[in-house]
Amino acid sequence: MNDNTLTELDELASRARRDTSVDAVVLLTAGALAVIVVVLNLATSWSGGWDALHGVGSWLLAVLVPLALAGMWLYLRWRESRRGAGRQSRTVGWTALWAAIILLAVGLGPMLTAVLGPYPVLMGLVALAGVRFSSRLLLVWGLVAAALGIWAGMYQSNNRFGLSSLDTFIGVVIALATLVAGAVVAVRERRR
Amino acid sequence: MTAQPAAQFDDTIHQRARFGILTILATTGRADFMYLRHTLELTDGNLGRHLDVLNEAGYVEINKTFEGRKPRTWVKITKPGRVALNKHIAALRQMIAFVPGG
Repeated sequence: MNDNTLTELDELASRARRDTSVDAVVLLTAGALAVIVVVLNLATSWSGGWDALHGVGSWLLAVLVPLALAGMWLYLRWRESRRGAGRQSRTVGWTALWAAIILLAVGLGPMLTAVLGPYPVLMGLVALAGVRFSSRLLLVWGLVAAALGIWAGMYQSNNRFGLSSLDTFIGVVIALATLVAGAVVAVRERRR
Repeated sequence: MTAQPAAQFDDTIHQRARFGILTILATTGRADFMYLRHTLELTDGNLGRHLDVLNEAGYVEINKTFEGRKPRTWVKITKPGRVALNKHIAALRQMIAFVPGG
């Protein structure tokens, strides 16, 4: 055993990490959810103007998040069975259950999204996935996007400012950027 | 006086294939026999023997299932296995630093 052995083991671990990576799945799911929520919000925004952060979509998030997590759980179970490696579906399954309890039963989803928009919930879950699956990309993406979303939401809810197009623009950009990032990561994972 | 790092080596893990098996399992959580065989480029018999050694040491759990009519063997790292692997890697890193030019 020498330094080469450690290098060889590093390569084995990297390959195993690649085969079980959830980065693309998490970003694509969060991006798709964010786009659905933003479209619903824009379609139902009140007469004051376009609003990507508040509306029917944000209220539906409590149902949409557990459903999306359940879909992710099924996909990961299928992928693990096909590739013969990984156990991430268990974690996602439990998170789906807890998200359903907290967002639906406790009502935390509507409470958080009413003022700040959908991003504290959505990107909080992305950051949580980053911690759980040791992914720096997901952690940083979740924290930055959540901070931007919360800032836009607070700016919008402040009575001293009118509904500005900048807030709506930020809301739309976070949703689209998350979806595009997920697609880029998925393509890169396939190429390796 | 500093203890000799080699004294902390775990003889069960200190074998290339077994070290590789535990490294993969520590990353993925669990893997099936085919995945391990393909990734480590081992023969069926060779991999089976190494898995038996790790199983007897309590470092992995082997679960044989059936998918339809096809048998499938899943291998999972245990908590003692993860602890032993981390200790062994730490000892190995210490050893590399200990040896002049390492």
